[in-house]
Amino acid sequence: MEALLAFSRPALDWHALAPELTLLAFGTLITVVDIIWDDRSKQAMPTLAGIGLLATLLPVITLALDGTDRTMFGGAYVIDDFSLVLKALFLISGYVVILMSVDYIRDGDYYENEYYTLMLTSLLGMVMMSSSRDLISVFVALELLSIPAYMLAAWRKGGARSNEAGLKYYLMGVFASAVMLYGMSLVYGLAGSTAFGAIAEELGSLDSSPVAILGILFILIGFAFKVSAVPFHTWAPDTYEGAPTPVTAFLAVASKTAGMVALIQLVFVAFAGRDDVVQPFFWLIAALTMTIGNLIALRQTNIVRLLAYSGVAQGGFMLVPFAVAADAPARAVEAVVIYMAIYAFMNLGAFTVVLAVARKTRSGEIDSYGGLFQYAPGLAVAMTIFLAALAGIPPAGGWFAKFGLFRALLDAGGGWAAGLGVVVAVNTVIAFAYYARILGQMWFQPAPDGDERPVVMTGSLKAALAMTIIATMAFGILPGLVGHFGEVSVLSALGG
Amino acid sequence: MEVTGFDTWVLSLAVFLPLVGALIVMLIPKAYETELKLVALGSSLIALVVGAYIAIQFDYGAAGELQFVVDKGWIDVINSRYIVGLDGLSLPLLLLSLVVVPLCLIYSWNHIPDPGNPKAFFVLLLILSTGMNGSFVSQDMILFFVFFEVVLLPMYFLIGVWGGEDRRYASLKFFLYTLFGSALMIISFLALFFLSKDASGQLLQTFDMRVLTDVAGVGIIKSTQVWIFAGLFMGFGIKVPMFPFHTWLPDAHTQAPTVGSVILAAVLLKLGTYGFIRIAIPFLPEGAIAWAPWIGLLAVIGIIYGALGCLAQKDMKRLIAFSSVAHMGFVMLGIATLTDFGINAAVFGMVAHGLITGMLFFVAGSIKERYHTLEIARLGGLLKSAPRMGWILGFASMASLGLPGLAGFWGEFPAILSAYNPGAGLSEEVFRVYMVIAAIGTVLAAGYLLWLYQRTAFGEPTEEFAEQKIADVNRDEWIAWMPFLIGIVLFGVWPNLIFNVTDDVVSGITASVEAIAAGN
Amino acid sequence: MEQYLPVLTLGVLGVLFVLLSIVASRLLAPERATVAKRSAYECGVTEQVAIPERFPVKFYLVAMLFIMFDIEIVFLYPWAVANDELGLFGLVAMTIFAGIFFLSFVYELAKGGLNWGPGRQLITPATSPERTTTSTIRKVGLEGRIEIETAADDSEAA
Repeated sequence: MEALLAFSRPALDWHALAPELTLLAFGTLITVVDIIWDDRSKQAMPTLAGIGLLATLLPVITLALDGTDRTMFGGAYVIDDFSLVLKALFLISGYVVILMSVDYIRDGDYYENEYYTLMLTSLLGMVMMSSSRDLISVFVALELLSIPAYMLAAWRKGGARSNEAGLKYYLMGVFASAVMLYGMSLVYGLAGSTAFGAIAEELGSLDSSPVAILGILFILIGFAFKVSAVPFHTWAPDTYEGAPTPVTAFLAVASKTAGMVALIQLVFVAFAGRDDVVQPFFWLIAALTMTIGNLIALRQTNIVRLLAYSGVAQGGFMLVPFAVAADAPARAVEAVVIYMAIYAFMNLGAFTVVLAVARKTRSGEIDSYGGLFQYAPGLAVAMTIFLAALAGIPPAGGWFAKFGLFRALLDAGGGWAAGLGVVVAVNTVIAFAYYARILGQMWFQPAPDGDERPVVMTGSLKAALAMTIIATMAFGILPGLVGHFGEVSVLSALGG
Repeated sequence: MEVTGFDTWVLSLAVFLPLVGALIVMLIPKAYETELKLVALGSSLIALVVGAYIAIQFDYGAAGELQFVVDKGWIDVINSRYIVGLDGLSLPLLLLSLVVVPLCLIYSWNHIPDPGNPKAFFVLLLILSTGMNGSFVSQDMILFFVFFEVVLLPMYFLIGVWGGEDRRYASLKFFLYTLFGSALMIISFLALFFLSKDASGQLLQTFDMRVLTDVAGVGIIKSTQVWIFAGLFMGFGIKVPMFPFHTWLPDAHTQAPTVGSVILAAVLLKLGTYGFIRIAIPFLPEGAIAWAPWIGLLAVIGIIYGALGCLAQKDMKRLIAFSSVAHMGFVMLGIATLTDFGINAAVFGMVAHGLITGMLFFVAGSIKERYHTLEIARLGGLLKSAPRMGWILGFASMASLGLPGLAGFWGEFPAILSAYNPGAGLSEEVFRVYMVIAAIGTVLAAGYLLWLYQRTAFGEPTEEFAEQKIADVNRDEWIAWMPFLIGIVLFGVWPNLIFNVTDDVVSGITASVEAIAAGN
Repeated sequence: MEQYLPVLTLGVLGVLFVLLSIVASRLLAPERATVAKRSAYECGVTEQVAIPERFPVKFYLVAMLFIMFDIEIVFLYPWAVANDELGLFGLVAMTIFAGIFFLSFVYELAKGGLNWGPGRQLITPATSPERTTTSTIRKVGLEGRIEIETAADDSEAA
């Protein structure tokens, strides 16, 4: 009781909190503007949201230039290079998603201000996630990013599919949260602290405790739902297919990345001493996720669904370095961060093309991509770049991401790591088989019904496409760009 | 050798000029067809001129050393650098690649296969060219890997868009096979990166091929070398292609458009064999010694299998494709002997096969264009209906079967001979058996090629085409083919043109292998 | 594990009690049903109309408002109790918190969440008549897009 009464005002570092506060302010501002001007303000909403994200990027950059690590709330909230790199990644992906959304939301005549407010709120959760170093702040950030996402998934509220998407995502998400929370309570019970550092110390000394293993597994399984790892992926394809396409892109990129960020902190810091549990778990999950995601993707006929399963498989690739978390921690963190950064751009790019093409074909079937190279060569080439990147073919960006995986595995060495490397290699090939279906359709087949009218592009889609193409190619030709961010992340992620 | 001024740029120019050309062509609207063709041809010709400059400036007295070396930072985080350089092994292959691409552009000038679209066709050829040239001059494993892979997509599209009936199947098969190989290859590259030590046991952690050649795998124990070599073997062996990974080749060749086949045969397959000589053997001598008998075995199986395959073919292009399997078998046999003689023969065989088989595919393409079929049974009397083309086909067939005086001979004959006395650490008995089998292969080669020639060129034209007027070789074809024909004769009568250039490098490689073998 | 024994015992006892009650009432209670007993209980007033199958959607909006303010109370109460220790800092923090909370109330008000009259069109209909079945990425068919009334008339279904 004494400790509670002796309250002292927590030291608030306003500079460190500036990104979160800016994001919050803009989310609120959008609502206020909507309340005051109602329909008349609709046009301004995407602009406002975009400005909000760019404005949030400013303090992130000043913090990065400043360079000092800042710790708040007894170590629960940390601003270091790792968190700043990821904050920037979230904000930029969010910006691309907003560019993708502008016309989709406007043409569809959906609620606008709520859409952007929720998007910003979800991003706020992600931005917080990258700084969270404690079970409670991780959980709060996770809920903050998930709950708006449940609503966004059901945004096409007239459509049964979209409702299904939202509901499935919600139920599965809540279930995962519950499992995770239970695991967290077990871990807290054993460690007596919610801070990652303290947890690592306590858990490391409890080798044979079944409760510790249970707690760790429950937490990891909870996040496995979030990052749609097999066998916890079943919600993903339905949700991705039913949700509005920009939201799908948002879920597939930003939401998944946020889950990975939490996993990095948990696995490499909190559970650092428990590689006996963590490594086999991730070996299995990664191998399953890659293989099953890819195999099911082979059978898809709808491109969004195909990208959904490909996203599941890509998530599996991202999980690979976790399987050598203890043997080669530095390389593994680097590999995951690099993979996330490159994946964000190549996948967002692919979704942008899907959106653009759908404006003409009004369809998401792969068959409708026939002849794209004839009537929209630019889009076809763009899609080729993104698919090549996803498949990991140089010089498009994805190769460096895959390379990072192999590097982490071989740095760890040993039969298990090498075995997983072969699984990755085989999966790279399987993955290309379905990417090639889209490529083949675009390049080799005539347009269905001979409809060769060009695709009408809008300015915001063009901007999104330009950003993603430039990033994807730049990461492929000069991987040092993204490699640098991976490197600085490692230092701070493992140093803390 | 200190590289200064313009010389620091020449290799990069030779590699990237076609890419620059491709980018410019992309910006030209489709309607300006002649202009974009001219830009494409121009960029590849300038690259060829740069290649000629390289060939002139090349110091042949020091062919064993890398020249025109450029070493610049690239991906610092993984310690990979932009290192390009050229030695006697790279030079002939780089020149081959630089020559073939403009000739293919000229050949396609008025012959863009269905469904047309010269802009895309030329752009892809130019990107392809950058990938091939880059692979031959890279001296950093990651850089090599990137160029090696850049080649894939353009070829995939060339086959898939402009190919024959089964083009989707063939293009996908080509891609998946190669991709699988290269995924294992990159794992091996990384293993080399992490495991290589210098003589004092210090970990190197480098992708620099010069360094790895120098250390020659000391510090990597034999069993590990064997595993790493296995990964490289998959990567390069699929590309060659070696039996039993060859099945993509006949499909790809048969379905590809003519220039696609030509480039595939003339340059792309060489990336695999080049990889063996440049990377696999010098980096992992012990692994190479352990694998050599198996490589030799697969090579002779390939020779016989390819030859028997040829005898069974009804389609002319497919027959040439199978003959490629057989010829690459000779090249691989030469490499597997790990002798100076054998590897030199292999390099010669690579160039010779590129010229000869490229030429055969050109002729096959022109026949297809005129007769609209390549079914051997329906052809005949080519010497009557189009005598010049008939003679060229005869000439290329003779070269292909290894007639002394033409280039093909110098690839096959020394390769067989070298198997009589394989390198240190290899079983003589085994390789002598291979030698005998390979010799049988040459007889079969003569059989199927002469039989092909007899069925297509001799006799009267078949009834179906008797009335038709078949155009003989036209201007574009003459321009495109002449360098090939000249090369076949030139290298045939003056083989030292190539042997002299390659020998320094090759003897360096075999010397280090022998040193390792002697040490055991 | 001994410390969990009381919990387990309590759980078992709870289940037993429920089962016993149900069984006992089945066995012991006399069953003499009348119309009045069978009908739904509405504050002792006899029902006037058939019971609505669905609640008007407005109920949920009001319910959400309640939850909102419930949450606010949850935070306000401990603050009020500890006000002496928290001082000015606590007051400022709470004011900001309450301000943001108030905004959500204003939002609901502005969107007509508390207009309890006869059903009216939403300010921004979720689906407009101009939308066709083909203007979304998937061909969604006619589900949910038939007429604007269906969406707006939810409240009158009662």
